[in-house]
Amino acid sequence: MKGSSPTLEVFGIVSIILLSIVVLSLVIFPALGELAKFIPVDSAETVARDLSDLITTSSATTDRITITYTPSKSATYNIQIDERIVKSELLNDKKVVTGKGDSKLGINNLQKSFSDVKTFTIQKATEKAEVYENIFSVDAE
Amino acid sequence: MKAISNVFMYVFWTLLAIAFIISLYFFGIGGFLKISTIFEGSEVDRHAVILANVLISSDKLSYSDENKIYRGLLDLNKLNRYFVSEGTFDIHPFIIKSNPIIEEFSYPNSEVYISVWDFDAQKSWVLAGNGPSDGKLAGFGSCIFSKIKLDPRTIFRLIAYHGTAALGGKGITFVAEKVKIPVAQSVNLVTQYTWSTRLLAMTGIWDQYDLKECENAVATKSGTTSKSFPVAIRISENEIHLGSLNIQLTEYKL
Repeated sequence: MKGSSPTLEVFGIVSIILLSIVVLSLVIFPALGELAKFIPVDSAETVARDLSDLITTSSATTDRITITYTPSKSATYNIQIDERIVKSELLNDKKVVTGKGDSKLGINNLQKSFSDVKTFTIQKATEKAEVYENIFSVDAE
Repeated sequence: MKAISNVFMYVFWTLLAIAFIISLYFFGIGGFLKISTIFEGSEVDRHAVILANVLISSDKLSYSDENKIYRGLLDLNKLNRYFVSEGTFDIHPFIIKSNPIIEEFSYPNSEVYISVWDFDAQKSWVLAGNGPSDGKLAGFGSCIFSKIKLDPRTIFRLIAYHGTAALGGKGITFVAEKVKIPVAQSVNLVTQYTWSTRLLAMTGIWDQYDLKECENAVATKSGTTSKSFPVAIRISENEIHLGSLNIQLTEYKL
């Protein structure tokens, strides 16, 4: 018999295959999954995060602010705002939920729910504002 | 002889390949942790920045007249009303209670510590509390209270820490009262539990690893961040001091 023992070769190949599977399953796939949640600009996670940040940030106005947010030209969402959490569901063409995400909201007393909406309008005006009087609304269409 | 040499060579290359894959694994773990840290850490950072901006723009904290709110110009009277000044802070847990500012502006499952420094007067105010919790943080209270240590060594440490205050304040009763006060108050039990127990940990009733164990048992931490923002403090109509608003935010996963 020339070369090394076939048993050793098999052992080596099997070890390398097993380790490769471990590396892929424990590290690379979860990392790709983590990235996949945040890279698309219109994913349910991204919309929940953007919406919660925009609503909370709008509280920082000292007079009035109006924000119109359209995450995507075509995608529509179900949104539920309750208990300082924004929950988002991404709908496909047939209005079936294809992704879910949630994000924390930093302000109190806001409860809203929207179905199959594409554009959001956030309005805030303090009591000091001339035209509005203590408005805080989130609408969608 | 050649066969033996080949076997050694094969074993060597196999080990080298395995070492290479293991190193890839550890580099991969590092990469994954980095990715997770960037995303989760950036979320806590973002929330801290937003929260601080909301606070310094709020009518509850900033100076306002009939026409407008002055962003970043904190009102001394409002600071004294909603915050605790450094001199009275001590370690009394009952002063860290539910606060209108934190009730209105805070993220769920989070702990926040806000301090305001007046650089000109060398004075500071603090405010600490929790955002609304889904019950996980309340579990922290029951966990930590199950780990109270009142053995002779702890009592000695306690007396050494408090000195005459502990002896003059009825010794252990003094401590027990401090534990009971937050429990008895029904304003915001989560706030009372977490912050008061953390402060009481300084007395030695709990070890630091007990706190860590209970924190890990009840919720998974997303991250902690500290940010500072320059502010002005309006002392009177003719006097404005320079200062900073510092915010330390710890968030737990939903």
